Amino acid sequence: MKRRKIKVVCAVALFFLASCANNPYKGLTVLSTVDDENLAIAPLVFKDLSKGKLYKAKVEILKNYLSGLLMIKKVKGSKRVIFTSETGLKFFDFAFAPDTFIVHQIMEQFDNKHVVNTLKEDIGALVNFYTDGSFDKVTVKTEAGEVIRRKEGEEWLYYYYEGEQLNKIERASDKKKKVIITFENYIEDIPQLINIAHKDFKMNIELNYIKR
Amino acid sequence: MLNKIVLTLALVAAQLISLAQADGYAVMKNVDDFKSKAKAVANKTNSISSDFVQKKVLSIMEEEIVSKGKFLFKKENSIRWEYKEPFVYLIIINDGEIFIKDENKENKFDMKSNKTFKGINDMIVNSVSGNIMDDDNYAVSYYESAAGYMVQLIPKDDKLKEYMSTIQVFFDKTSYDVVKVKMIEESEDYTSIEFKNRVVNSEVSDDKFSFK
Repeated sequence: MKRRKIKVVCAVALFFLASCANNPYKGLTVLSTVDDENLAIAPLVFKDLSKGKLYKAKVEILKNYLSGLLMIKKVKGSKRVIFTSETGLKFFDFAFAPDTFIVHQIMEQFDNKHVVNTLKEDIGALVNFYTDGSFDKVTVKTEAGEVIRRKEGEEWLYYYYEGEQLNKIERASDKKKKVIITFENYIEDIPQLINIAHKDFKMNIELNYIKR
Repeated sequence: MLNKIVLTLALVAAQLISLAQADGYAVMKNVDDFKSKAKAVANKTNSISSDFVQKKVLSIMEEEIVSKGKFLFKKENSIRWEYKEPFVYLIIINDGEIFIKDENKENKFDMKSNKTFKGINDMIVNSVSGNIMDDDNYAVSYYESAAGYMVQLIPKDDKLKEYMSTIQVFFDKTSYDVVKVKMIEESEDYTSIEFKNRVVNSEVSDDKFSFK
């Protein structure tokens, strides 16, 4: 009985130590809190969406693979995101507005609460509006450059910069990274390669810019 | 109830007329003559080799999304779509199976598992081969203009209708070849595929439709 108790205590201790060691935000320091209007760096991937952006998309979900074309464009007050197959079949059509998210159209196979929510969060991070609240300027031990973060529900969104260029967004809980979005090879303010990687289940979206 | 039916019919009719008239097409006078000639051409068509230009028109995008490639058809129902620009993508449909190659990712499906995809495929095969008029899955109507003939199809299947509310197949006035297929969505966004440099009954190797 005693032995078992020791084992349990050890296991708990190990788990605790392990989770501490794995916490990527351990030692994070909040430098200051600023209103989004006073933020020197804009937390936006696309500076100008008045002209539509077109990406070739490759999506891996668990053991499935799907590819297609992703269009992003500002339409009136909202940002529209349409995903079609290469042959033109529309998989989904979303609109992100400051306070609302609208599903204009979705193919039956995608029409599941979890899928829609995941897509909303992933794509929302690329196009979203930030009209509510403030950002923390923080330092993260493992990262150089400027880092800002904002709270979204129970989670944090971290924005990593190199100079003025946004090169990574992370969605995380207090202790764990959940989604890592990287932006590479900017040409005329447009990232040519965007990668969205989920850490808690196998899902990856790769977007390659198509110049027209 | 009866009023509702009448109203629906009237709306459908109005839509048909407006669609047809918008393109300068009027109701075809001699449908039987057109059908027999188109069928005779289709019967003599053992293979088609053609370039294609696909245009995706989305109301939110200011420019259409144009992709180009090579199309091959071989009787009875083997099809190869090879997109070459602005992205590389290959679809082979052969013997009820679909093979997709997206860069280095290869995927194979059994079409029987997806009724909608089968519907779309049958429509394309039957359109390009000129046999679309006999398909019971559509409500068919016939139009003509100075430039050519047009067969308009309304899918009877509700699922298929979600992706394509109307399909228009355009025939050359003298050769009775299919020159263009236009797939219109409920939202009025559409995909059109135009066939160019078409060669009929040239030698097309079976290898083009095989996938290991």
